[in-house]
Order: sequence, then C-alpha cells, then structure tokens
Amino acid sequence: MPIKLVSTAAGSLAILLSIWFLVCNWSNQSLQRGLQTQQEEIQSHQLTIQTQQQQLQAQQQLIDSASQLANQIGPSMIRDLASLQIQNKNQKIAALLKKYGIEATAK
Amino acid sequence: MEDQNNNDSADQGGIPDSIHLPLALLSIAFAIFLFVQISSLGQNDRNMRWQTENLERQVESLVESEKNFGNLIKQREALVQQSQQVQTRYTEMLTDLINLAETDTDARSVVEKYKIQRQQNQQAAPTPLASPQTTP
Repeated sequence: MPIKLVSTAAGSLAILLSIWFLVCNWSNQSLQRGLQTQQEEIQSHQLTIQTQQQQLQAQQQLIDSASQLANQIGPSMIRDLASLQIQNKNQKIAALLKKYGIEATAK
Repeated sequence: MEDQNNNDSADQGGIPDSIHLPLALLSIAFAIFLFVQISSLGQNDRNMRWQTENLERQVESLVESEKNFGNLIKQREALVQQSQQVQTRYTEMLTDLINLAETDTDARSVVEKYKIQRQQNQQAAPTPLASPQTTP
C-alpha cells in the first residue's frame, strides 16, 4: 500500500514538474526572442551612429580645408598676386583681383 | 501467496503491485532530472533578465549619443555652408588664375609657386597642393 502511494506521488510530481519545465522553457524562449530584438535594435543604432560619425568627419574635413584656404594659403596667394600687380603694373591680375572684390594699392 | 495477490490485483483491472516500485523509482529519477533542468532554466532566466537590463541601458545610451551627434551635425551646418561658400569662391578664383596663367607670366609664377592644379575628374576645381614658404 505505501509503495502504491509513493509511486502515485512520484508520478504526480513528475507530471507537475514536466508542466513547470514547459512553462519555464516557454518563458526562456520568450526572453531569448526579446534579447535578440534588443540586439538588433542596438545594431541599428550603432549603424546610425557610425553614419553620423562619418558625416561629422566629412564636415570636419570640409571645414578644415576651407579654413586652411581662407586663413593660410588664400591670403598669402592674394598678397603675392597684389604685390605682382603693383610691381609689374599687371592689369590682367588687377582685373582678376577686382572681379573678386580685392583692390591692391601701393603703400 | 504474493503471486496470488498480484494476480488478484491484475484480475481486478488494476496495476500489479510489483510494478509500483520500478515505476516509483523511474518517476523519482525523472522528477530529479526535471528539477535540475528547471533550476538550470531558472539560472538562464536570471542571466537573460540581467542581460536585458544591460541592453536596455545600452540602448538608452546609444539613443542619447545618436541625439547628440544629430544636434552636433545640425549645429555645424551653418559653418559647413560657410566653408562650402569659401571653397566655391576660391575655386572660381583659382580657375580664373589658371586660365590667366596660360597667357600671363606673373599669374603663371603664382600658379607654380602654390602648385595650383586642376583636379583630374573635375575640369574646373583647382586646389593648391602645398602652401609655399611665404616671405614676410
């Protein structure tokens, strides 16, 4: 009689644990799907940030090159052109400079 | 005598007593196996919840970075536009200078000094390759 009871109890326990196992497994799979979605979201954000960084880099390059042109090479070249125009009385260079709003005068 | 009892149970349509012991042992073993599996799943569950929290924080941080980068790009747009205007203006001027250098020696000397060249792909987009030694 007790062995029958033990057998029934163990069987019932096994059935209950099986159900619990299935529920846990389902919950686990659901969490795993959530993680996968989050990882995909992160990848998408990372891709956007990478694009933005490239855009910023391109902007920076443009700003740097324009700055170099406007602050270093440009003024120096215009000074040379103006000096040549005055020294050699070069009217063609004078016209070129005038076209861009620069007028060279001797000191 | 025992056989008699077993046979009696079987005759009554029930499970023979002799099968209860292996059945109980099998059930207990299966229950232990399931319990271990459930514990392992529980551990996995906790790990994944922890990972989810971390990923949520990571997403928040990435969204914040994305927003900051977007703002930075917008802030620089005016400066970029200004830089483009400067470049366009100089490009036009340098193109005219290169054209003038074909007939004018003074212009040619400046073009040579600043190594101004037309770009390969564009017909009229010259760039000074190097800044020369400027004399004060």
